[in-house]
Amino acid sequence: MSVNQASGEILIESRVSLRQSLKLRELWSYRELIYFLSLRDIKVKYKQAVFGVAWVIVQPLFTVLTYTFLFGKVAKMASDGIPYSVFVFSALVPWTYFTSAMNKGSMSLVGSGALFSKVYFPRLVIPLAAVMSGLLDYMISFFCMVLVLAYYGIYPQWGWIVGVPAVTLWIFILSSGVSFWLGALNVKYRDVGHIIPFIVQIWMFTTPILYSISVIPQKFQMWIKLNPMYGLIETYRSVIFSRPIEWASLSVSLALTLIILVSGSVYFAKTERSFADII
Amino acid sequence: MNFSIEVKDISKKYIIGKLAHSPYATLRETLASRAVDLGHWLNGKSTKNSHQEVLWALNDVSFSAKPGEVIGIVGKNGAGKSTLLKILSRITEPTQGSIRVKGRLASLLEVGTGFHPELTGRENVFLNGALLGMKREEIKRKFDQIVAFSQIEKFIDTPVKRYSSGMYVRLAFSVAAHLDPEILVLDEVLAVGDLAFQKKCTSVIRDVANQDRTVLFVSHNLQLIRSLCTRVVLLDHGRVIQDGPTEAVLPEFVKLLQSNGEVAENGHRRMLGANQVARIERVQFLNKMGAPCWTFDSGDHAVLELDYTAYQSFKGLSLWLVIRNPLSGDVVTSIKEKITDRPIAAGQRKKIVLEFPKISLGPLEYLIEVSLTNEEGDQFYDSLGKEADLPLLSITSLEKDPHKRQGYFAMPVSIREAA
Repeated sequence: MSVNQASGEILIESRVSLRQSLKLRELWSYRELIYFLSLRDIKVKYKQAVFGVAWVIVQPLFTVLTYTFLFGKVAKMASDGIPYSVFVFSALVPWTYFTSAMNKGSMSLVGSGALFSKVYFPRLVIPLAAVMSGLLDYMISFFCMVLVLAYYGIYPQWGWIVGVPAVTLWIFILSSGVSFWLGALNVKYRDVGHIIPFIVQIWMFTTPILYSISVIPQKFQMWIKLNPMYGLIETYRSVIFSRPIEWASLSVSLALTLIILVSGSVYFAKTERSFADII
Repeated sequence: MNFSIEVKDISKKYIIGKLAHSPYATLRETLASRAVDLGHWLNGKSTKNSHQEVLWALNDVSFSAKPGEVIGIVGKNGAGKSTLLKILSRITEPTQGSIRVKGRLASLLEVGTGFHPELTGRENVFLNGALLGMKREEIKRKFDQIVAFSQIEKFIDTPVKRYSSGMYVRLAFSVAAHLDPEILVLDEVLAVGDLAFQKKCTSVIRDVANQDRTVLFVSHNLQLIRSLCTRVVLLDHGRVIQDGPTEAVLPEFVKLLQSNGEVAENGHRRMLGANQVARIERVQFLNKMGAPCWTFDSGDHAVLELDYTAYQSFKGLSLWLVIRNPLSGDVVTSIKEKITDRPIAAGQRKKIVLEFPKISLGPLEYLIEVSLTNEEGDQFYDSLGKEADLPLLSITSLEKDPHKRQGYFAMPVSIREAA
């Protein structure tokens, strides 16, 4: 069952303009649904797990330990003079949020087929809720990182208050944009579901998470910097370690993020109306 | 003109054929068919519809509804009723035409959409309410009423996976019942739940209509339509073939259902698959004049004819006839009888005739299920269930007072006053 929010007159037609199909105002009126759906995802995730929140702490810690041993100790990667474990940790926290949000966001539409054929609501709500539900895990691992940083004598800075939420917001926007693209494509071509892990892997190695950009030969650096996650991860790290921000690469990332968001929303709006028929 | 819904020349096209098997394409298929299209294009052939079949689920459907009207939408399976509701609910878009809707429209195509088994009743009320388009404030305000209406106060903080199906449906419907829409669109949701629940549903519909709002609903339950609807729209093959007062249109619908007892080739085509030994070709009631008929007065003489074709040779045959309440699925009565123990050769077409000297069912609609089985009744040769789209057997009563004889069974009785 669904209720259209507008009390005025509505018109149901076949060919509507792009502005009508984007329906941003309507999306805004469904913001509480985004909240309830992400709340559902979070509750369901923790209700059945015996150790609940412990997983969110243990998982990144072990990942960091493994990477520190392999790349920090064995391969002796350069880490810009920062202890390798916190160097990795500071990038892995936002990166993990990004990949899990992108993953859930892209797969969420296919998982909601039953809703699509029975209820009307702006379909963008589904990937947005999925991207949002990852925020709790992200915050928990962030506080984990704060503790580890404190162990190395690095304490929270005033700059974090602005820097961390700002970069997080951009990562949120980027993962939403990517989810709109991949999610809508996945409804039509189920192959996308198989490609996503692959994309995540390649993307991770082309983003300076385990290594510093300085180890990359000068002539390849430009290509790495065209990756929208590059500027975001670098800025995140700079904020955490109170280093100067590379404004040029950040601007590139922000511009690319906006392009992905806008093009993703447009593609989504175009395909959305056939979801119920093909899902 | 004062309308709440105005449907204008709505058509909906579905592409079937290859797509019918896998509704979503894989990248490989798309690339492959693009390559084929390119080849055709290079050769100067048309690429359009090379391997597509088109189905018009709705064809130029127009009607309008005024506030206070309760409109029943009826038609055989596949007539386009559900497609129409889906378009009205904005779940799918029309291919052509437009609909104007004035006011808050709520559509209930399923009870409990989005309910999550792990979440408690309380959590699900909020989630479901938000899905249906309610604001959090509104749900909070109505929460106590919703719970009271569902009568499951004690279990509201229990995960719904522990609910009985009755409790689940009651809670889900309570949320829906508190939407206060100006226009209510209902699919056959009233067919679920027990009798008490169905009564609640009907009273909600009546309330909505009494408040000068519009109700549109699809149902196979003629009794319900007769008692609730002021107007009926009859659809057939995606077109409106009748639109008018209930008393005028319902007989047309019944006639349409009864036009023949021919069993449709597809649609229900049963679970038997390759093991199908025989096929029931036709199921038909006849009145005492020998004319095809699915409506009888209680106590009438009736004949049921069943034609079947043997696909494989078999030995021995039993008939199993089950008469059910179409709403609840309860068995009203059943007949299981041996027809023959002789062998029947493949390809033979045969007829079985059942004669009921007095059909002593009460005045209601009944669902007929027939199966052919082996002699012992443990191997099904063919079976027609409720998906077969057979007409409902409709029993009417000559009595003016509907309470004179109620229920499934019309018991012969003679009454006298003893001194």
